[in-house]
Amino acid sequence: MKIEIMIYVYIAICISMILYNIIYVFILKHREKALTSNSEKFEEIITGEIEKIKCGKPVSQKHKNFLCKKLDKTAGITAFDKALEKIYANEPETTEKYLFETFSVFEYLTYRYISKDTVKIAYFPYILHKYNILKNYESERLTDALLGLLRSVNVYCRENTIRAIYSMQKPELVVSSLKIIDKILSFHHPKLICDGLLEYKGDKNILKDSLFNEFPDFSTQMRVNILNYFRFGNVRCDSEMLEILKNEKEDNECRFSAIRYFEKFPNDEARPVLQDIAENSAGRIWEYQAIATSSLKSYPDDVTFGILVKNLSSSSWYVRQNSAICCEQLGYTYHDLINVFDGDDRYAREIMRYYLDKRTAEKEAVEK
Amino acid sequence: MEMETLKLIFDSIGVCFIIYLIGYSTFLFLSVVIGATTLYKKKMQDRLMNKFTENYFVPITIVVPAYNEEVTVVQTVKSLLTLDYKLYEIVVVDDGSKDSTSQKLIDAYNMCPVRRPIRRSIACQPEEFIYESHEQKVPLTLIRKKNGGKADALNMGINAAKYPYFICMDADSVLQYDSLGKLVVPVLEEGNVVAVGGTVRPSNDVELSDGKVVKYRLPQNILACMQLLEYDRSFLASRILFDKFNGSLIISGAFGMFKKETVIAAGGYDHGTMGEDMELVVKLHSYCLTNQISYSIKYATDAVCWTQVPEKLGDLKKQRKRWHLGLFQTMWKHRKMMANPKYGAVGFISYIYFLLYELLSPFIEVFGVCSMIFAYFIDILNLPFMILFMLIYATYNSILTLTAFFSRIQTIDLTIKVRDCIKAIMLCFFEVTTLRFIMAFVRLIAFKGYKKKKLDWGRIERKKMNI
Repeated sequence: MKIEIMIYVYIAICISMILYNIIYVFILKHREKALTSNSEKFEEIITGEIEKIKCGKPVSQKHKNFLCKKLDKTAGITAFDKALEKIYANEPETTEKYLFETFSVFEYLTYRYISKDTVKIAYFPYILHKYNILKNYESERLTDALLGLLRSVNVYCRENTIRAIYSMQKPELVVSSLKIIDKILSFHHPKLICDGLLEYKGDKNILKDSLFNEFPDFSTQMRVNILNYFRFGNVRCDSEMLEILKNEKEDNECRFSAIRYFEKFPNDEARPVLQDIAENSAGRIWEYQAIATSSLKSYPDDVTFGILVKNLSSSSWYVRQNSAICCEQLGYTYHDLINVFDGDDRYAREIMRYYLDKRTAEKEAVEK
Repeated sequence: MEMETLKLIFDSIGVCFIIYLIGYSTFLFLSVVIGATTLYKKKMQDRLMNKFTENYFVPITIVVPAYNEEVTVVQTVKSLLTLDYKLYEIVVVDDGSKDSTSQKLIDAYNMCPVRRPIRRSIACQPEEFIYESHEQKVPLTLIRKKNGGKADALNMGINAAKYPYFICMDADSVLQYDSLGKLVVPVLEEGNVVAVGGTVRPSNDVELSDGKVVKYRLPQNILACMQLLEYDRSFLASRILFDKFNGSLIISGAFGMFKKETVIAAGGYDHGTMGEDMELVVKLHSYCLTNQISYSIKYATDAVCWTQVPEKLGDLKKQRKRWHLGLFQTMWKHRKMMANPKYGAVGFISYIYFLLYELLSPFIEVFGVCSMIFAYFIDILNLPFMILFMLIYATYNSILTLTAFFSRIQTIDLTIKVRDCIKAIMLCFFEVTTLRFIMAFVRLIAFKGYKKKKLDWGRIERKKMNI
């Protein structure tokens, strides 16, 4: 290869990179301008339709056709979103009526969007969720399409879709959605499931029953997500949780979640079980004892006190630490724990002293 | 030696040098194009709501190792307390400072002494005292320990961390208000993330308020400005490209997040190297691949940390020597990875790239230039052609550097004045031709006195930041 060719290649790359920079700046600037101008046009058109609705007239078919055509493109739907956001903030009720009347447009668009690139698809369920468009609708075709989107490899597409499904407030659909996500190969973070369920605005007790009806069909991780949701969402399910807590054959993670549930919602039937787990580590992995020790802060009595003092000398760092935190939270004083401070176990003394001192410092900080 | 033989030797050197340059320019081209495309794609994804619309909080411990940081430590903690994130704690580890780093912090945040037992999952020097503050929005802990170097201080921080992920950062850096939220995104996207690197940007002359950029402009200091261009090139180029095949070997010590459990299992930071940040990342690769653990090391392009870069050549030389020695120590320690099929792309691509274009580059570049000078004196160099070639090569590098710079500016919604644009255009050529060569020479002589500097923190002059 002659060296001159190399020089020409370098020059060509230099020129193309300069062009690349210029073209991209131009595209970004143009896109921003186009978005502003299109959203202004949308705002004008939608406001006109809303005025008609206020006068008792329906949304015209011409407008629906216009929406079908424009919202099919990414530039159109982003401009529509920008315009609608402004209108919705000023007139939420009439905007909802407008969206109610134009539902057929979104039904049509669902089929248009499912065949697009996943990055573009993700925006569509986001719009459905943002404006609560699906709340009062029964459309089997649309729900089937949405459930299909949950199989997407794009996590944002799945996340936006499941939020749109939650906004429909249909427990059976939530269960179906979780089953689909449970079966797909792509990773879906447990936090997304648990925190997502907390967004569900429908009747939580009906949802709870639906989830428990299908509970055995879920994977362990999904079962844990669901149980965590009950705990964080304050959905009371004591009897079901007791069953899980007592069932030695149940998966460890589910039982951990049950222990944590009874830490938040104290239950007399759970008390002896938790005290037993906190006291007897034999035959169980150490996490049981550590988590159960933590839960005892909701079960103050003499038995609990004895277990906590004993666990302060556990060989497991986490059991010792949780026990000390528990003693501090239950309000035990240096006087109550005199045997620990006079005892031989330096580790127990040190950790207990730290938490009691911390309590004093925190109190002083509050008083200041 | 006969002229013919000399000519043959110089021809061979010339061919090797040209192959080397072609290799580097191809890599640079690929990485800048892929990097810029990735940033633009990310911008489009954000526009189309391919992002988490709700806040998901993964608990994080921020470890701030400090040594003689009395000028900046209070401000750094202040900026950390304004982060837009709910679930985090701050652990400052004073590595036996000789100034009043600890006292400044204790006074500023009304901290109280505590006798907190710390579980030693990783060996480190003992603590001298521990202070905590309960008056802040998140727990703030100060651990003063016996001097043991930055790696040792970080290990202490990991031991004291309560949360499953920890961030290591420098005491002279400022995290952008939304940086934690952005840094955890890869963890939510993928299940097996053990480390996430953020983007480090020079903060010289940038005005920040509560972690937000109030006024952005290029540093007035020319040296700092050239480093900015260099940072943009390296963060845009190699990091995004290596991220594509899980081959990142560096997460900057100024800003990176790690899974505590995996770091402890791998043995924590190495006390014996100066480049403890790179060593940890390479070690994580090695640990996970050896133990067949599914893992990924990600780069969050939009998680930004602002840091002061040296404004004096002496400070810059110190910093670069330290980095180069750290690179050498890490590469040597993990030499078994080189072209080893067991380590896949990390061993074949990342390791070889770092060996040829990072570790050996000063030797190759300086040798190449010296050869040209020698060839000129014995009259076997076509000087006009060589100058033309080098000019075109420098222009090529400059344009790619500018592409990296403008891609970054355009995709993080920063605006710069025309004056700054012109400054960047003018300085990039100087950076590529002059600073790069000076730094090559500095790195070449980095090994001089290397044993003495083993646990040195590598001090550079600090000044208060505009935050």
